Amino acid sequence: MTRALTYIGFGWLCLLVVAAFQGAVPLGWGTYLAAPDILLVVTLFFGLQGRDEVGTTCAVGAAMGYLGDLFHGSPKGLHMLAYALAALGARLAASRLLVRGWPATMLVTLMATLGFGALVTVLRASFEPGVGWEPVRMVPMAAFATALGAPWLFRILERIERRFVRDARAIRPI
Amino acid sequence: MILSRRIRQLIIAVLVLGLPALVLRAHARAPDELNFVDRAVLRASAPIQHGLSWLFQSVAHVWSRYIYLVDLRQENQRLKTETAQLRADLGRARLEAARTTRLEQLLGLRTEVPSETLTARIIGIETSSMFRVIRVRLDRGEGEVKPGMPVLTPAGVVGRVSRVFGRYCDVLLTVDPKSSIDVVLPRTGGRGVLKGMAASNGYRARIDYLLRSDEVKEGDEVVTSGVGGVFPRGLPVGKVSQVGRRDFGLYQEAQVMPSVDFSRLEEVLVVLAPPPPPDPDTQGAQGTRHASDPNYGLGAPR
Repeated sequence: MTRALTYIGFGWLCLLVVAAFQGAVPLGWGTYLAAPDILLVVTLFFGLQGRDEVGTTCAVGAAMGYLGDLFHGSPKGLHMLAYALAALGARLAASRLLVRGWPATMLVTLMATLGFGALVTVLRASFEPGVGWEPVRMVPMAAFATALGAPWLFRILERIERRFVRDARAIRPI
Repeated sequence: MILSRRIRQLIIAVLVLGLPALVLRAHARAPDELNFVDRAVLRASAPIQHGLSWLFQSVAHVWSRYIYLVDLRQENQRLKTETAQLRADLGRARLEAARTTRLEQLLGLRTEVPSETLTARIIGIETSSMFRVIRVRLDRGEGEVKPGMPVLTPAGVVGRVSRVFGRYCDVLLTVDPKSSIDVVLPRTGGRGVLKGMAASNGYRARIDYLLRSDEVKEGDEVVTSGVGGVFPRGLPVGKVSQVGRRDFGLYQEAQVMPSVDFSRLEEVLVVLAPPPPPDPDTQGAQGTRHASDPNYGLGAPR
């Protein structure tokens, strides 16, 4: 329970930092297009550890999504559902997928972010019919930015994970 | 025992996946409503976000001053210190001047807008590239701002308030695909609905339902029509950047480059009350929507 809350708290803090940074430092529209999806990386890491049951992992994903909905300005429930599904996918893949090293981390994050972006677009299009499919064009850039930042974030998350796991070798991604 | 545990986890997973679907449905019915938990989380987050924003701004200022000093290292110590001091003073003076100009412009806009307004400061920008939302902090007037109220700058329309929590609110920008504003092109009198575009090349919007018969050109000014009662009439929205006219169909496509630089917003005005209804006598006499009309772009007298 403490571990799950720590991850949710960390995700919330990351969201605040990114939002405040983008608001305070006017670097132009490029930074918004390339805004990395930090919550997704945290959710993926949590799921890929495979340490919790499916239900708990989904609940953490949904909590991350709830925060995402509040901060992204998206319809309430949209990211909740998407992140819960992402967490579920990562949890199910945990026993089959070994993410080791920076290239693998970046590749897995890139693929996951692309899929996640497509999922959010589909969900948004079905719940907000007027919006259409245009937002899907933003996905690749955000996915690349997320993939570039993922190894660093994984390092930080590994440090957090070490506080809960005694055997450091048990932490899956490196 | 193991089976029952698995079943329990499966039930939890199904419930957790089902809950967002219910929340989404509820959101569709009342998109602007925030429940107790939402408000609590946002209220807890906003001051931290405000503090972090201040911290980043301070770091950015310190960093830029450090760069100045590094650039001047080759000169002697006295000149370096003196120049740095003068530059810092000049920078501060310029910042003050720019701020004064911005505030003067805001004040000017405030007197032009035929409704009561509140100033607000941007404290955060959307954290997802798929949504175009900013978070602002009101200088005063907590409780007076409601979802749907228009948000402006001297450069033009910024968007409308989407969510409110205490002194903070989210603003849906005009370039978000969810946003739609009734607009008019003063040169031709053509009218359409401005919708945001999730363009990969920046903040863009397009005009839907613009009749093909209207001779729209690149560079044509786009302003609010006042229809719908949300935005006052005649506020600048942007300029036509691209026109796509096909040989068939009722409508043509026109892309719009917003007049507001959303990436450099600092202060905005929130219009508290919708503009007064247009004066039917003035409307009747006007007949057209051309910019040459003396009443064009002005709300009805209060």
